[in-house]
Amino acid sequence: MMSIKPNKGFTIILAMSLIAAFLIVASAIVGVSCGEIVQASMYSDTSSAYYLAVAGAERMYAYLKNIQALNQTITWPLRPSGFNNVTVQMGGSNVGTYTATAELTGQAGEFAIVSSGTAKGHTSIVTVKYGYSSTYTNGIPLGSMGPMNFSGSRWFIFTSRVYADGPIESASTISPSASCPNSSPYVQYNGDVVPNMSGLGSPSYWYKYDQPTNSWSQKQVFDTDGNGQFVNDTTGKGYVNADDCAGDPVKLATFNADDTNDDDRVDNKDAFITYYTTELNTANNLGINPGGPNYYSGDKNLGPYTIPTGVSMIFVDGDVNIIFNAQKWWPTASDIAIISTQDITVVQPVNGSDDRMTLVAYDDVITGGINLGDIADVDGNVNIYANDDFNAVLGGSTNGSIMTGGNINVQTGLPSFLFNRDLNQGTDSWFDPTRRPVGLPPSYPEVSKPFSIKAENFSALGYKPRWQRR
Amino acid sequence: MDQTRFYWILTGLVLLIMSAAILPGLHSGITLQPAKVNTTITPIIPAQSDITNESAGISIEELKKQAGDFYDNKGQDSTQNESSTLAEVYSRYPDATVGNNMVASWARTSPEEKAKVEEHLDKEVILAQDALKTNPEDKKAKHMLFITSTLKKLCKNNFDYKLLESIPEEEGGLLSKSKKPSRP
Repeated sequence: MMSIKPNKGFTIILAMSLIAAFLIVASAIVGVSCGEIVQASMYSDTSSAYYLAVAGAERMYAYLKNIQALNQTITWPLRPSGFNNVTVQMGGSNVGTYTATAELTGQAGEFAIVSSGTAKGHTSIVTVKYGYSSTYTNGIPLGSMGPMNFSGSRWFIFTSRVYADGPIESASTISPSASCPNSSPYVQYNGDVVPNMSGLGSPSYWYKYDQPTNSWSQKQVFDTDGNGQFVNDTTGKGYVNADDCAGDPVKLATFNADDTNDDDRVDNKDAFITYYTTELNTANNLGINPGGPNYYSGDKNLGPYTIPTGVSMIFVDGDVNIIFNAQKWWPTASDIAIISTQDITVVQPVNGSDDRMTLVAYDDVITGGINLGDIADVDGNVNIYANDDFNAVLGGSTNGSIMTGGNINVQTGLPSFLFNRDLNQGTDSWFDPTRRPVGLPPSYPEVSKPFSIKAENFSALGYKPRWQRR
Repeated sequence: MDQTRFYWILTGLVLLIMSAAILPGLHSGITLQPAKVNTTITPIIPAQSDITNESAGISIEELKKQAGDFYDNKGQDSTQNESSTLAEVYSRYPDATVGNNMVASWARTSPEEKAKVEEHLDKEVILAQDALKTNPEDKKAKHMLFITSTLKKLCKNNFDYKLLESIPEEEGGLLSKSKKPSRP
């Protein structure tokens, strides 16, 4: 073995130690740098793959919403050809691909969108679970016996548009007849738009409740009290008056008995009043009979603290003005119906996702507000029946059903997103008849859908989508 | 141990340490092996448990107790325990029962947009008033005046509506202590 002198050995060891220390530091720097570069590159590719997968999931969701709007049925699992290995480009270069499918999860009323994104060999899979119903029944989103007119506005890049869920059906005309979201009058329909619909009928109030048998039957028109005695409209006026009695005292007595509101004619208004204050009141013990605790005479202004919690319906023989809601809608669920023999005007209607407000007016229902919704201002539902017209002015966002015996007129204000008007379909299902709003008239038009995604909201009725990534 | 052997052993140890330090660095630079990703994204919608009253550390029963039962105490001034403004309601109850926070939404709106809306409402109020001067029975103008003037008031108060004002004073409120439903 080669011998080393002590003074040289110390120098060698010192030099080698310094080299070792240098190499350790250099190695650490190289190692950390390489690791960071690799991690950054990998993170970028994985993120791209994730966002590709999200894009696939979002597109599949839109596809399913369209199936819902078109009232189509679904065969599970759903693997549309246009969703397989879809290439996504950005600035002319390929970012990657996604493949999206939808299938049942095995949990009742639940399906999942599974979307896989791939970028530079890295794959990310996103699964989103949604609730759905195959038993969705609700009132018609928009229906009228008279013409429907929708109108938004625009000034340069600013617009206030009208959005309406379908089916939208009218026994008369609908204007515009198709969506025009980018041009005057700035209207966007989602679903069928059916003008001049022959099968659409105005709800009738000529119904009688039989308490002993707990059953309903149709009354003869003009037989308001349902006793089988009535006077005929001899001249085709659409109502009966004293002239139709021709001086016959028996007929006059019958006429007077059927003239519920003493306005010297027997007509649909008598049927309206009698239906609520007698028939429905008896069937549901609502206290809306004349003199009852929930019967009011004269014009009324209503707000969130005016109708006690627990009261489900009031009858007002006069005009009604409402600010926000007629009943406190928090913290427990509110389900209130306001029936008016004249007009109902509601400013900025609002409620929570577990609430429902039903407005029925023998004349008009008018609403106006400002669209402040991240979610709908009416996060729950508002269902409206106007025997004459429904008019919506300025902005606002509601879920629910609107039907009129007359016209529907929707007009936004100046071009501002605050005056957007959104008329969304109802978020609750009336498939269970006990969920149907009691205040709506018999034969109120309804729609059923074989597939409906449950509302994405916070309520017990809605469904919370769950996003997972792997 | 002689001195020469000691130095050789020491040299060997130094080389060993150098190798141990260098090799992992080279390894990471060569293999480019991505770490396994297994992440669960936080749900966009809060979990159901997050939106119940319990998550706020208070039960519904407790909330009811705090609020007082306004309606079961007819004839007494129990309104003092109720939420008197909309902002107060939003702060006390979860979104699910109250709905969209209009006060917060309006607060987020730019001053320019607010001014534009308020100006438009002013114009609509004047139009409705003029129409009513011409025809006091103009139903459409009456409704428009009620809607626009109410919205003006809401905007002015930043949508922080005073809820108890919704009980018309002249009636004492429909639920009121003195309510006597009138007959037709």
